[in-house]
Amino acid sequence: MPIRHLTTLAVLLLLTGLLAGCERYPQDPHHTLDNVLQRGVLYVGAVENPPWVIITPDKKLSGIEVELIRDFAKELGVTIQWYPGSAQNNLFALKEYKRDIVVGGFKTTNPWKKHVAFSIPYYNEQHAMAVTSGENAFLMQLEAFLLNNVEKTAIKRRLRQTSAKVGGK
Amino acid sequence: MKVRCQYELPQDKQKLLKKAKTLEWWTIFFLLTITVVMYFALGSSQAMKTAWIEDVLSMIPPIVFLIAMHFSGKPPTEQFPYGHHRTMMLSFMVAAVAVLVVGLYLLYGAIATLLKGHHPTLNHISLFGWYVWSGWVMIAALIYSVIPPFILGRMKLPLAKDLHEKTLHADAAMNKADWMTGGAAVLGILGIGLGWWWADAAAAAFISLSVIKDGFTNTKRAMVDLMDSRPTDAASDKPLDLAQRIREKLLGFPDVEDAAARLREDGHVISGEVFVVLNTDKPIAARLETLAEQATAIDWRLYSLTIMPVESIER
Repeated sequence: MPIRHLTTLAVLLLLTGLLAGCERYPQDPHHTLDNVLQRGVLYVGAVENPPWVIITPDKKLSGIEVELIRDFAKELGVTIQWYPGSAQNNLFALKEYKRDIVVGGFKTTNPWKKHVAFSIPYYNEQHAMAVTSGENAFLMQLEAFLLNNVEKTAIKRRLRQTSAKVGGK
Repeated sequence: MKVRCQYELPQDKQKLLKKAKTLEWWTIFFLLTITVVMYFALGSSQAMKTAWIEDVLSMIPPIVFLIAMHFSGKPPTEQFPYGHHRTMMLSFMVAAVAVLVVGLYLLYGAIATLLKGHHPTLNHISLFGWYVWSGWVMIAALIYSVIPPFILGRMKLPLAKDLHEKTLHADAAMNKADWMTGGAAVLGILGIGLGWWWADAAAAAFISLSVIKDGFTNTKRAMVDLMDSRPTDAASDKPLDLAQRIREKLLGFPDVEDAAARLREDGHVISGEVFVVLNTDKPIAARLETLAEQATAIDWRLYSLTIMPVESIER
C-alpha cells in the first residue's frame, strides 16, 4: 500500500528532523530568533498610540509597550533598533522580515492578522504585539516573556497615571 | 400471496442490527466530543482545520444510517408498493456527493495555502491555567480524535458484512481509516515545530485527498446500486452468486426444465424476477408459489421474488 510507505517515510523524516533540531522546539522557518541573537539587535517598529507607545516631538520613545520591549531586549541580551512610523509601513516591513516586532497598542482583532501574527494577548485579553507569521520560536520567546513579566496591576497603575483612554487600533 | 409483503429480518440478524444501531449512536456521541475538543484546540493550522471538517463529515454516515433504518423498515404502502428499502441508497447518495464536494473544497484550500506560502503561527494556549505551545494541545486533541473511531470502526466492519449493510460498511471503513488523516495532521503540526511551514498545508492536502477518496468511492457505489447492479457482497464488493444458486436449486426439481433469475439490491434486501420453464400437467399457480418460496429460502436477504412461467429462456 503506497499510503503506508508514505507514512513510514514521513515518520522517519520527522524523527531525523526532531533529532537534528532537538535543542529548540518549535523552530522558526526564517530563523528570526537566531538572527536577533546573532546580530545582537532587535528591530522594533513603533506606532504611536498612547499610552502604549508614546513618541515625543524630539523622537524619544516611552509608553507601556516600549518599556516592555526594553525589558524583553534586556532578557535576550540584545540592543534595540527602533523604527518609529505608521502601522502600515511597519507591519508591511514586518511581513518582509525587516522588523522582528511591531508595537502600537494593537489588539488581536486587528484586520492585519491575515498578513502578520499577533502574540497571545498579554493584557485585558486583547492587547498584543505583532510578529512575523510562522516564526514560532521567536513568538514562544516573546510570549513566555510577556506571560512571565507583565503584571496587570502595573499596567493598570500606568493607565490610571496617564489617565488616558485605553486605545487600540 | 400478498402483493405488498413485509420483509422480516431473521432473529439472529435482528440482534446484530440492534448492536449496529447502538454502535452508531456511540459513534455519533464520540464524534461530537471529538469535534468539540478539536474545536477548542483549533489554531491557524490548515491541517487541523481540515481534520476537524473531516471529523464533522464523518458524522454523516452514522446519521444517514440511523435515519434510513427508521424509514427503510416500514412496510410497503399503496403509494410505495415496493417498500422503503431504497431510502438508504438515496440518502447515502446525497451524503456521498456532499462529502465529495467538501473534499474538493478542502483540497483547494490546502493548495491555495501552499501556493500563497502562508506560514502557520502557533501561539501559546492557556490550558487550565498553564501556558503551553498550542501545537502540543492540537496533537493531544488529534490523538484523542483517532482512538474511538478506530475501535468503533473495527467493531462495525464485521457487523456490516453479516447484515449486508453497505452504508454501515462505508462508515466503518471511513472510521477505521481515520487514524491516517489524524496521523497526517499530527505530522503536519510536528513539521511546523521543525520550522517546515509547508508541512501543515501538505498534511491538509493529504487529508482532503482522503475525504475526496471517501466521497468518490461512496458516490460511485451509490450510483451503481441505484442503477440496479447485480447484488454484491457488502464488504468485498464481489458479486454474490445468488442468481446461479436459484437456478441450480430450481433445476433440481423434476418438473423444472429451465430457470433463470434477475436480481437487484434494495438496500440490504435482494429481490427480483425468476423465470421458469415448467413441464407439468398439474395446475401451475400453486406450483409456482411453492417454487418462489423455495427460491426465497436460499438466502436470508432474498425477499419478494416474482416467479414467472415462460415457454423458453433465450441466452
